[in-house]
Amino acid sequence: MRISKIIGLNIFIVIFALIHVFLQTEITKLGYQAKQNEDRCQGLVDNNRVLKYNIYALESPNTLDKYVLLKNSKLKVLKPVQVFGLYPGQESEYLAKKENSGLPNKNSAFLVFRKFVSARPAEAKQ
Amino acid sequence: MPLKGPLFRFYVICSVFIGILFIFLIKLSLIHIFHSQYLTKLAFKQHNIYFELPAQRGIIYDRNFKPLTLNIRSYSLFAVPREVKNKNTLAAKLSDILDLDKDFILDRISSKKYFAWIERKVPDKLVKEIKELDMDGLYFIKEDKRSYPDRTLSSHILGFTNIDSVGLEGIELSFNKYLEGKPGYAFFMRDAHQNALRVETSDKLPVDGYDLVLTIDQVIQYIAENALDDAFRKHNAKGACIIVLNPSTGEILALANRPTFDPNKPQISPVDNRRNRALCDYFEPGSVFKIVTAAAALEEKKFSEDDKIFCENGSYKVANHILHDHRPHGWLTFSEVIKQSSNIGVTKIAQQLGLEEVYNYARAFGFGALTGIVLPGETGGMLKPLSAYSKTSIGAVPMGQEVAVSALQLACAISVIANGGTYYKPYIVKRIRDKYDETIEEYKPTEIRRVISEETSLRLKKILEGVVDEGTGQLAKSKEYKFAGKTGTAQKIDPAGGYSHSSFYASFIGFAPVDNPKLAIVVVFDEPHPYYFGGVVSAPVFKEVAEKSLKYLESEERLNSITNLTRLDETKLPSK
Repeated sequence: MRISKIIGLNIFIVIFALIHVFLQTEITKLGYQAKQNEDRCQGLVDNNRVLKYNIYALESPNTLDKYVLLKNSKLKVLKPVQVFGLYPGQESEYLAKKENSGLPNKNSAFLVFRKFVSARPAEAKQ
Repeated sequence: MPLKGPLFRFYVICSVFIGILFIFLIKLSLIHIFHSQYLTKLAFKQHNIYFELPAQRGIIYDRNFKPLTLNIRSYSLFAVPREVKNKNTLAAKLSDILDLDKDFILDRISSKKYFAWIERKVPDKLVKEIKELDMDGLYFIKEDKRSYPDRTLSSHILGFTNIDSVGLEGIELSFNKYLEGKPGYAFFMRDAHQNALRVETSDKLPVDGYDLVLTIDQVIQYIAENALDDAFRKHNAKGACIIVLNPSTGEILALANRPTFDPNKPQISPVDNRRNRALCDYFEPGSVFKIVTAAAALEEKKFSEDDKIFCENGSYKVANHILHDHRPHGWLTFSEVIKQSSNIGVTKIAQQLGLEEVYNYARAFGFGALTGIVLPGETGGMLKPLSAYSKTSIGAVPMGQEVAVSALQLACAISVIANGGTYYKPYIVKRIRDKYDETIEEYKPTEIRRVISEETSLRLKKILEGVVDEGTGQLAKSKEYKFAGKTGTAQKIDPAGGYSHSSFYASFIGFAPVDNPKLAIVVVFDEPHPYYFGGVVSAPVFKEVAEKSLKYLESEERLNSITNLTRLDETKLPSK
């Protein structure tokens, strides 16, 4: 075997070994990074679960009722006539009716604005 | 010619090197061929760390998808005893923070083990304090903790889990195999400090537990518990329970007991508080059982509502036993016998029917058998074989003596009258689903048998409405809705023999509204005092729960109708 071939083979082996070591180092680095990210993510998930628990505990009728009693709020169940909904498409009909009836159209600016910002209906309950 | 000189030395050195090379080759072949498997395993262990990946326990929801249970992160404290330096100091400090016995901690950290639990699932506040100690040999491990955001609400339905999140009571126990899931595992590369790097070498992902959707309505449950709690305190009862059922399907909308417990800390409550009285306790029902006799009499066409029965002015002899009414009555119509809850009147009705007929109807109404609800500890009550009853039994069984029932059986029985005569199997779990909302199992209303005809049911409804309007259950009367029901006051068995004159069961069973029953409700109080009549103690609880629940259901219907309209309108909107 010629000396040049041996040298070439050695160089190839060294480069291959260096690449292998480099890759291993990178894998380890990424492993550390991934662990950090996962720990952060897990921390956030854990906090999220605790917050959810707190929300549901606060939303629980047990807690809500005590809060309402504490505030001495005299809440009542609404009668059907006290609940009304405005649905998309009905506002223009409502405005047209109002114009035809000759009543001053005081809420028109609000209704136009509301229609602009939201396609969802307004409900007295929400 | 022997070799001498430099050539000889060259050959010797070459031989030595070749010899060494040969030894190396042998060693290498031993390592690579004969020991390879063992060494590969050893290297894998040294370079990797094993982790069990716990499965998340399934969530239990109410019928409107409000979570009744959640899993939250908690920290468990453990020690590596060999790493602990000053054991006495550590034990003293931990004992102060965790409120544990110092000797117990010292015993744990003095062992020769590599691992010793100190305290599982430590509250977050204390975790911070322990971390601030900065002591060697103490470590925390993350674990999921089963938590119940509604605290005592629905506690007897949900049950609780042990420290390892294995169900021990209620739904948690009955559906443990669905809820628990299957843990997975993973091997991660590790560094020299034993830190795991997130480079997986092999793994098996955990399978999370399935979620359960119950038939319980959180709001109705609260209404029922709140009303029961107030009355339980007011009447100084030993125990109480309430069941709210949808009579047309058998869905349990609410079930509560008093005294109760917090499933977040079940260990601090006495065992008695954790018992699901509505299912596990049986008692002599007393007058509420008269609905069975009345149903049998009407169904068998032996009596009609206006038939007159002489109630012997309050005293009537059956075999060797003298029966009494709580108030003397003369002539009463069939309807009035039920409305006024006359023991003598009902006995005379039963005498016309015969005990066998009453017995058969009691069986058909589901007494003396398990309802088949999937909650642990259900009792089937007690309905002896017909041959075991004596001559005096005709004066006892028709008015709810010599039989024992559970509150759930009563709820099913009153549902039969409310829904037009069909016995439905009660159920509490609607659906089992996975994390992707795929249905694993679905439970639907199960019609078991027809007990009475629709006509008889209508006639009984009218009579039971009369009980509330002008009979013994007037405290259940509502201004807004029409209610129907039956009161019951049963003497408890005296341990010394006979019936007690100071201990009673006060009960009320009914449904609402009469025209289109949406709720069947059973309220039972154990040993209330000083008042002990079902019409005084239990009927007002029925009224409160029925009124509030119906208002809530109506508002829900309105809200749903609004939401449906919105959905329809949204489909007409031009796409964005």
